[in-house]
Amino acid sequence: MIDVEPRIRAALERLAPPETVEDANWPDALRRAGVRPRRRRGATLALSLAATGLVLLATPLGSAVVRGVGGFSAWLSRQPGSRAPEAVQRELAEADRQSWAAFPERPDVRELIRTKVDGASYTLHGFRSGNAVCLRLTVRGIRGAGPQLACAPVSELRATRDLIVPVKGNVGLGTVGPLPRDPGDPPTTPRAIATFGFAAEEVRAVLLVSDAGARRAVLGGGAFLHVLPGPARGNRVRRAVALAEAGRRQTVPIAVFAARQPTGIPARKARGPARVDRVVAGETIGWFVRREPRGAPFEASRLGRLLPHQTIGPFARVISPDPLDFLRMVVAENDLGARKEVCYYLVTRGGAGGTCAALRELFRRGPLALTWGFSGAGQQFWIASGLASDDVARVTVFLATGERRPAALRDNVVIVRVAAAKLPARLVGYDSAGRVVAVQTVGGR
Amino acid sequence: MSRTVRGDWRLRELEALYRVRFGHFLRVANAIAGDRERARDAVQDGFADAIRSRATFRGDGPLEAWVWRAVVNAARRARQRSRPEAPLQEPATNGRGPEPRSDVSALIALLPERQRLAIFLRYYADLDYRSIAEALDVEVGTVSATLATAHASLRKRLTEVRR
Repeated sequence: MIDVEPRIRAALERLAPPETVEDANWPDALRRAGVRPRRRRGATLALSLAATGLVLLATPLGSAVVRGVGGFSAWLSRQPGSRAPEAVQRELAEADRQSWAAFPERPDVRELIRTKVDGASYTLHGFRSGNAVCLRLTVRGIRGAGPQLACAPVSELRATRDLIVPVKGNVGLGTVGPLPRDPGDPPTTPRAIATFGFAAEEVRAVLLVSDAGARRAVLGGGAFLHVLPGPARGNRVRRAVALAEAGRRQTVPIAVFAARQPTGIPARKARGPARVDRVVAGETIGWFVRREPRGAPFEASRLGRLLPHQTIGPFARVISPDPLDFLRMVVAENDLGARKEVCYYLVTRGGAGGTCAALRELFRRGPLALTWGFSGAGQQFWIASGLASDDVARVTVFLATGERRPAALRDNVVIVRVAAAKLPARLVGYDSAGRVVAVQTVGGR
Repeated sequence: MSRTVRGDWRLRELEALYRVRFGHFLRVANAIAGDRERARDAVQDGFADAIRSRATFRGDGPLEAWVWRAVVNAARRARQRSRPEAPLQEPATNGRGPEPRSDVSALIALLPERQRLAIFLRYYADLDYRSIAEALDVEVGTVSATLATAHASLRKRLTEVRR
């Protein structure tokens, strides 16, 4: 018997691809209904908060929200908050110039939230560059607390049903006490831990629930920021609760990475096709075998420093599966005499990492050879990346929440960011006829 | 609670639904109307209908399903205005031009309208059976039977194609 459901889904994907919210125009719908658009009032928030039955703890966060804007649509139109000062624009441009994974477009940095907590100043900036939306937290007054950058795919903000999208959770800032020097020395605790992310337009408050209780985050410019000063050892923010108009309330878990597995997220089973429709054999990467100059050349003088301990062979290319994203992959030959390997290294703004394998071994378990991980502490978006054989025409990510996201695929390179809170994810490869040829699950079963 | 206040609350709910689910509404409308511009108009008109008659929503079922009914009806009207006799057509894809039609796509287009609508609402909008029933104004059992019939029909035709 034929299992038609996967084929229906595949056919429908082609029939009408997912739509974006960029064409949304609520005032136009109101006009068609004969209703004059009006400004919102604050009363809804008070009613919404009361309806939740939650006791809000007083917060020391004295916020100076720059400007309230319209949710994710403001991010999609690149206009959240207000334009950051020129000094900030130049600082990020300089950091970008020195980065191994530069943004595809020079970002117009926006200032979203500025606040003070426990004597330290926090500023949250944000920007969109191509298909990535990023938040950057800078801290003054805590020694050793460097800028914290985290990005999410634009597709997530377009498609998600969530009210908030955390991008960094429980980032330790500074340290209390001396750093441990010997094995018996007590570990340090951070001076503060920060959690931040994007917030939709209809969100009126965000509560962060840690082991010590609930505290209200600063909300502004389509983002939220929560700082927990002086946390006790082991204290972590576990979840965020978004409160919106009309009494809507949503809880989003904050994932903590432990022992190479996401923790703190609901135990869920992976969704999407679990079996292949067609078994393929003898997979390969044609352009690599033929040494076609795909993508961009590998600049040994620059990227070579990023991979000092790797043997990059004479043939190496840099592939950007999504030209509008800064994530890219070095695909290189590792010449070990008679045994030739293909190496693939994911390049992020924080560094590079990857692995090597003989081509015949690479696809031994199927035409998708993916690894997953993250770059930087507290990241709430983890990256699945790797190589697909020539048999794979497209890759779709099935999230544990039932949502689906497309994965960037070009020249056999696959890179996709996945919200940790929505793991496990099933990455499904389809051939050109829409048949499932590869299934790989990451972050669980 | 006065009618005015209740109406304002409903309007806010409708706006939240519009902003969160616009992409899904547009996708289903596109599949029904067969044209992205007409689909966008249908979504706007469907929501305008819902806004105008929001005071009549009794809350017997989910608000979203009630709005789906308005949008589906608007999309069907849009299709009928453009091609009164035509079956559902494969729509253009995001302005990038139509893609090659697969076997399954062609078979879906051959299904009776109710089956196609149920499939669109099930797979594009991720609606449960109860919401699909509300949207199509049928019983829940009818949705179950309709989807089962559509699956069986597709399975049979795919088997025939294989031979």
